[in-house]
Amino acid sequence: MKKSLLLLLPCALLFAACSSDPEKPEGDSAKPADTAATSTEDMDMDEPVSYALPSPLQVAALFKKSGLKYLPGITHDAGAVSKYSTKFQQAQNMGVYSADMAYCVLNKQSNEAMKYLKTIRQTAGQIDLGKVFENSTLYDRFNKNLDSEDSLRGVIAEIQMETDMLMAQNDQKHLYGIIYTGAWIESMYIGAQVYKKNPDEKIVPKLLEQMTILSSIIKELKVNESKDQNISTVLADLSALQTAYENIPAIKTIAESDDVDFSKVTVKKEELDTLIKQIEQIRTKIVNG
Amino acid sequence: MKRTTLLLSLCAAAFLALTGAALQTQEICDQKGLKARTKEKLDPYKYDSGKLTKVTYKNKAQVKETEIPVFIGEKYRMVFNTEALSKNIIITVYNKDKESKGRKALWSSKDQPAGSKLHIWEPDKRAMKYFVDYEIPAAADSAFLNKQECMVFMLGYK
Repeated sequence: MKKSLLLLLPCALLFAACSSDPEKPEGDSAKPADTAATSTEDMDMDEPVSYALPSPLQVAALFKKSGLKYLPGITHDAGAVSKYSTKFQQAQNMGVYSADMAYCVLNKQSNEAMKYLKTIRQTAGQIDLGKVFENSTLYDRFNKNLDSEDSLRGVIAEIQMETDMLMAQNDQKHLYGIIYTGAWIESMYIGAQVYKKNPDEKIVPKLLEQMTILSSIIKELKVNESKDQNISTVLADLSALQTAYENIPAIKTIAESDDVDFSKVTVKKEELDTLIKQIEQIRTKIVNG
Repeated sequence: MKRTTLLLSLCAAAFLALTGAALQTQEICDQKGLKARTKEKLDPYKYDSGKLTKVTYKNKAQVKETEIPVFIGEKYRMVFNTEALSKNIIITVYNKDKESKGRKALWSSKDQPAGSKLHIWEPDKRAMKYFVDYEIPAAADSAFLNKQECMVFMLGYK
């Protein structure tokens, strides 16, 4: 009996060690010492910065507000998805297709949008983000609400949210910038194509305003540059585009401003054409894989 | 002897079950619940972007910064959910990044009622970027060192 009790003692200690509630604050968490310090001198400030970039849906909605029309045939071919063989190509083109889907939904092209959703679901599976669609009703809800733009916008926002959260959960944060680059370039490409075919001065300020996100995209990619060797190539292209934008005289005058009215910023046609040409070249590289 | 073996087997089985459950809880962080409660607070704003931030307590206090580019003239709502954190993290939104001199704090969780863990802020001034700093306290004791917890941030637009 004594022997049994002796054997039970270490077991009881192990139980006690394991059964503490991990969610429960240990110690006195209400003490001031437990709160964050306010002086930055004794703090580790070297943690890499993270970026929360505007969704392709919001970007498409802003373009739509400025009068961007639907032009058939300017979005990427959904059938091209099978030619992307690396995770980098798949991630970038998942972004491209996300922007195309947003553009189609906001222009009531729900059958086209459905094609892109299928493609996005396929690519998500290839880059280990398939869980976004597994065990969820997102795909079915999209399919059942093809006539309701509001519902489709809600589903797209949810897909975006699930993707954002899953990337962090899976420690796949480096994918965020890669996917986003594809989405942003495609949004800019669509805006530029509509402008070229149907020049409307109201679109120009929106194109210029969207360029303000580029510096954040570049920084996001730089944080994760070591995770994928292909990031350096796209970084070089985006940096060249950023330089072209910053070198426009009208943009130089607003460089340090916190509040800019882009409708009052005048750029020359040649300057805009240079930006558009660079956007087209980057987009071609992305969709060609 | 038989009774001793039985007791030892029961102990081992219970130990494995408990450690397994503890590890699973650490991994999961109830991300589903956190997401759902954060999104609920976004309403009527539409989801734009979000971050699930994993917080690891270290020997030294740390600052994590998130840069949020926005569009001038659009209306936004930020929701910070720190319900799953044991320690009190200070969240401050600035107009400039942590390297800039003379940056201005636009909002801080320090000014919110004590004990509140779900914060909502709607910027009322025009801006092109916001910078959110999370001040994470030091582990202070070994029980917290390298302990990982989660928090969720979401940005909504109208």
